[in-house]
Order: sequence, then structure tokens, then C-alpha cells
Amino acid sequence: MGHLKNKEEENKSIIAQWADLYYHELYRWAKHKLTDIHLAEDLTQETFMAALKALNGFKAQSKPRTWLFQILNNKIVDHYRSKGKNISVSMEEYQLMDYTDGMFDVQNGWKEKGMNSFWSGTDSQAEELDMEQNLNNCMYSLPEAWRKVVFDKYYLDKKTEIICDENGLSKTNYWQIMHRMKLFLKDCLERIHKNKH
Amino acid sequence: MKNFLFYSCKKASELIEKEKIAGLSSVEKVRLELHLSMCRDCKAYKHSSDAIDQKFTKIHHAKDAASKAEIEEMKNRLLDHLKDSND
Repeated sequence: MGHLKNKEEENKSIIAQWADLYYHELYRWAKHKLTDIHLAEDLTQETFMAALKALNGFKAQSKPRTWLFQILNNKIVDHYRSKGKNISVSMEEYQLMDYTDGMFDVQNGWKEKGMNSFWSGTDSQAEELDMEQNLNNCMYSLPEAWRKVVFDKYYLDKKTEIICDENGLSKTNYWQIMHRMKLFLKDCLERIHKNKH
Repeated sequence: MKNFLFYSCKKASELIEKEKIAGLSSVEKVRLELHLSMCRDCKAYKHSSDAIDQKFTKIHHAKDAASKAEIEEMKNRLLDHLKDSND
């Protein structure tokens, strides 16, 4: 029995180490997806407890961080499913490629010329407050994997090399994603602006 | 000849993003500068691209300072819970 007890203690200390390394980003991701801070804390906590239970079956060839994110994402999807909502309103990658291709004409010139008035005005305080909401709304249409990259870059301040490594991207993949994402967000913010004025 | 020397706007907008992440070769740099010097639509794109970076950064910094300590507390709650659990 003694070595079982030891094994359990060992597992707990592994999970505690992972919590030190990954708690912050898992929680922030949960909060971003759920917008409810209490639920985000609960699901993040449950993620680590589930990992503890399943740790003996964990294969060392997958990365702990990736595994924890899988567990958390399953919990988030389950949560939305239990409320009868389908969380996936995002576009597929090919749809976003088509959409942003559509911002150019056959010569690959811009369809919309010049600067949209959205970018030239200075932000009033009210608009400043809306900005976060608007950006988040626009981000929800991005393909899941891309949203993760944007989140890593802007909200977790991660370096290029780390983002590429963790998300399995080459540097070229990465800036191509950023290009498409910028095109889309630019268009999305301009559309919101146009509808308001 | 025209296409050899000049980027399309789509290509130019790609390089604007590439520059931020991976940097450009000196040839790419020159060709992009050339394109931007003649194309106000791409200059406008560059402006909005920078603005999106800034908006994200601003939101992030406003949030980050407040939340770090709170998340640390939550993590400690998990660690306590972990210690007490026996399964």
C-alpha cells in the first residue's frame, strides 16, 4: 500500500507544478470563452482535478499544456451544450480565407479604397469602452485555432517562437494567420462603425 | 515587368504583417517601401493594422495589472484543494 500512497503524492506534486506553469493562461482562456469569472474558476479548477485523476493514463508524448487545454476545452463545450447552446459560431479556416480574399479585386487591389473614417477619428471615451467589446465580438468569428493564436499574442504577450512552438506553426504560417486575422478584424470593426453612424 | 517590380496590394498587405513578425529581406523591404510610397490604400491598411495592435495592447495592459494577483489567489485555492483531496 505504501508505494500507492507515494504514487498519489507524486501525482499531486506534478499537478501542482503544472498549476504553477499553466494556471494563469488556462484561467484567462476560460474567462475569455465563458465571460463568467466564477464559472471560469470552477472549470479551471476542475481541469486540474480531472488531470490528477487521469494522470496515470497520460502519455508523456503529448505536452502537458496541450493536454490540459484539451480537458478545459471539453469542459467549456460541455457547459455550453448543457445549456442547449452550440458554442461554435466561428468560421472555418477556408471560409475566412474566402472572406478575406473577397476584400481584393481580381488584380489583388483593394475593393474598398482609401481610409475608412473609423481609423481617422480620435476615440471618444465611450468608443474606447466599446472597443474591447467590439474586438471580442469580432474575434468570436475567427476560427478556433486562430483565436487561440491571437489570444496568445495579444493577451498573454507571448513571443513569436513560443507561439509557433505551442501551436505547431511555422513562422510563415503564423504571419499568414496574422495577416488574414488583421484583414478580418479591420473589416469587422469598420462594419460595426458603419452600422452605428 | 510591372509585376516583377511592383507588389499587388494583397501581397503588400501580407508583407506589412510579415515584417512585424518575421522581418523582411532587404529586397522585400525596398519593394514594400516602393509600393507604399505610391499606394494610399495600402498606407491606410498599414495605419489600421498598427491601430489594431495598439488597441489590443491597450486593453491587455489595462486588464493585466488588475487580474494577475487575483489569478494567483485562485491558483493557491486550487493548490490547497489539491492537498486536501484524496482520491
